[in-house]
Amino acid sequence: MSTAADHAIVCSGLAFGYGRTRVLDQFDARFAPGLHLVKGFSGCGKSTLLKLIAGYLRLSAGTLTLPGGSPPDAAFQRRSLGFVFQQLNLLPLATVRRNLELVGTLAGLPRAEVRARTDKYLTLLGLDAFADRLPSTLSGGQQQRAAIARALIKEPTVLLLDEPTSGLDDLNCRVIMKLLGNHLPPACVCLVATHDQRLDALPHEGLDFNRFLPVERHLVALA
Amino acid sequence: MKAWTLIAFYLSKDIWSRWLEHPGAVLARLLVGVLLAALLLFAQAGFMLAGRSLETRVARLGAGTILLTEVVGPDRTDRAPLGELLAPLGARAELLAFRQIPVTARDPLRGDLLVLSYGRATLAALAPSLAGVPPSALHYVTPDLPAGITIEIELDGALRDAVTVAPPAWLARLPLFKPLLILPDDDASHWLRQGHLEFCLLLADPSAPDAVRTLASSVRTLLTLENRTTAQLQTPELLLAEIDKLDTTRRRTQAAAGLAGGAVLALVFGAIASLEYRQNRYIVALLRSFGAPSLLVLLRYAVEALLLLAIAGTGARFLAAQLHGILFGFAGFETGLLDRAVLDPYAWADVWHQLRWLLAGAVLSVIPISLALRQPVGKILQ
Repeated sequence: MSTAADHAIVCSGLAFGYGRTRVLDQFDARFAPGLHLVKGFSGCGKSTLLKLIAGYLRLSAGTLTLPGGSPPDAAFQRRSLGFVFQQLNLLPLATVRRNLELVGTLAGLPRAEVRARTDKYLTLLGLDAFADRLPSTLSGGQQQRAAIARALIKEPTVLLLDEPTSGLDDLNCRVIMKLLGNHLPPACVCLVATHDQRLDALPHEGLDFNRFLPVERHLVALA
Repeated sequence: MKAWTLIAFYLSKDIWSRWLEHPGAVLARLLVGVLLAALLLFAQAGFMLAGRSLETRVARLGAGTILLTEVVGPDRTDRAPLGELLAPLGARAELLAFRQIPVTARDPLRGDLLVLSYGRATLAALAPSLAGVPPSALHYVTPDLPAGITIEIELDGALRDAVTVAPPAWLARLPLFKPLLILPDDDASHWLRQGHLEFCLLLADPSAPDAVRTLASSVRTLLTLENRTTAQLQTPELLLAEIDKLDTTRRRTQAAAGLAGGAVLALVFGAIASLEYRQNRYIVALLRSFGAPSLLVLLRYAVEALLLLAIAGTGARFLAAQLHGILFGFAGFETGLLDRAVLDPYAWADVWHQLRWLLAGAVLSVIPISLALRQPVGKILQ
C-alpha cells in the first residue's frame, strides 16, 4: 500500500556545481505531493535543483529519492516526469497536437488515451484553435501554455516548471494558475521555480532558496 | 515501439527540413562524397585495367608455359621421347611435343624455315589449324600467307609441295624467329635417327599460378626419376613470383587509397555534422529530455550520412561509367580492354568493395556527435 511518503521527493545532502562554482552544497529538502514554489534570486540554483531532480544534470554528491523510488533515468523521464523549461520547449517541426501526442506515446499511454488527454489539455489551456499549427506560428504565451499541456499529458508524478509565467501577461498567467490550482494530477509533486509574485495567490508550500545561498545579498544593499 | 517510430519519423522529418533549410551543407557533403567515391572508383578501375593488361601481357610472355628441351644425339635416339614421359601430365595442362630436325628447308621467296616433326599426341593441338586446309604431308605455318594455299618449298635439297596454315595461338608463346615447316614423325623418321632437338610445351592456365608451380615441380620430379639430366627445363615460376609481388602491391595500394578516402570522408562529414549538431543541439536535447534515447539521435546522423553516401556513391558510379572510355582511353589502355562488356570495373560488387571504406568513414563521422550527446541535457537547455 502506497503512502504519502512514497510519493514525496526527498533530497539528502545534494551537491552540484558548474565547474568550480558550487551551486548546491549539502542541500536537504522534502517535497510532498502538492504545489511548491521555489523562490530565490537569479543564479541561486532554482533551475539547477529542478534539473537535478529531473535527471538532466548529474549530482556531484548526495541522494535523491523520487516518488516510487525510481532513479532519475530515461524511463522516469518518459513516464513520470513533466518538465517545462524557461525557453525552448516545443519541437519546431511538429504541430502542437503532435508535440503532445509524441510525449504521451513515449510515456507508453494507449493510443485512445493519448488522444483523449491531448484534447483535454488543449481545451484546458485554450489551445483548441491552435492544435494543428506549428509552434513558430504561436505567440509566447500560447507556446508556454502548449509546453505546460505537453508536460501534463502523461499526468506525471513529478511536474517541474521553470519560470512558467515569466514574461506572460495576466490573462495567460491566470490560465496557468487556474490549471495549477485545480487540475494537477493526484499525488503529483509540482515544483515551480519562479520570481513571479502572482503565483503566491495559489495554495502552496514555499522554499526560499536565498537562505541556502545568499550569494547576491549585495544586490539587496544596492536595491 | 510506436514511440520509437514516432521519434524516428520526427528525426527523418528533421533531416529533410534541415536539407531544405541549409542546402549548402548537404550539397557540400554530396560533392565531397561524389568526388571521393568517383576517385576511388577510377582508382579501382585503373587497377583492374592495369591488372588485366598485365595478365594479358604475361600470358603472351608465357606465364603458364613450361618448356623442356633436350638435345638427342644419333646414339640416343632409342630413348623414350620427352613427350611420352610427360604424357601423364597431359590432364593438367595441354602437352605439345615437337622435334626440331637438323635439315635445311627454304621458301624460295621468304628464306629459311625451321623444320619440326610432331607425334600423334600433338596432332590434337594442331587439329583446329589443319582441319580447314587441304590434306598434306607438309604444312607451312606462317602468318604472311593466307591459309590453305599450296606453295613449293625446298626440303633437304628436294622440291616439295606444302600447304599454308595460320599459326595457332599457342605458337605465340614459343620463342621462334622463323616460319615453320611441320610434318608428322612418321614422315621424318630417317632424319630423326640422325639426332634432333626435342622440345615439349606444357600449356597451363596462367591465372592459376599455384597449379603452374605444382606442375613445374611434378616435371622436375619426373625428370629426376627418369634420370634425364640432359633435359633443360624453363618454368615461369620467377615470373609468377614477380606477378604475385605486383598483385600484393596493387592490393595494398588500393586498400591504402580506400583508407585515405574513408578518413577524408569521415573528417568532412564529421565536421559538417558537428556544425549542424551545434545548431540543432537544443532540439536534440529537448527530445532527450522526453526520455528519447541518445542512440536514436545518433542513428539519425548515421542514417543521414549513409543516405548521402548512397546518393553520392550512385552518382559517382554513373559519372565514372560515363567517363570511363574517355579517361582510360586517354591514359593509353587498349580499346578492347575498355569495353565494359569485357571488363566492368563498376559492377555493384566491385563498387561495394571499394566504397566500403567510405561507408566506414561515414559511420565514423558520427563520433563527434556521440561525444556531444554525452553532455547532460540540463547544461544545454535553459
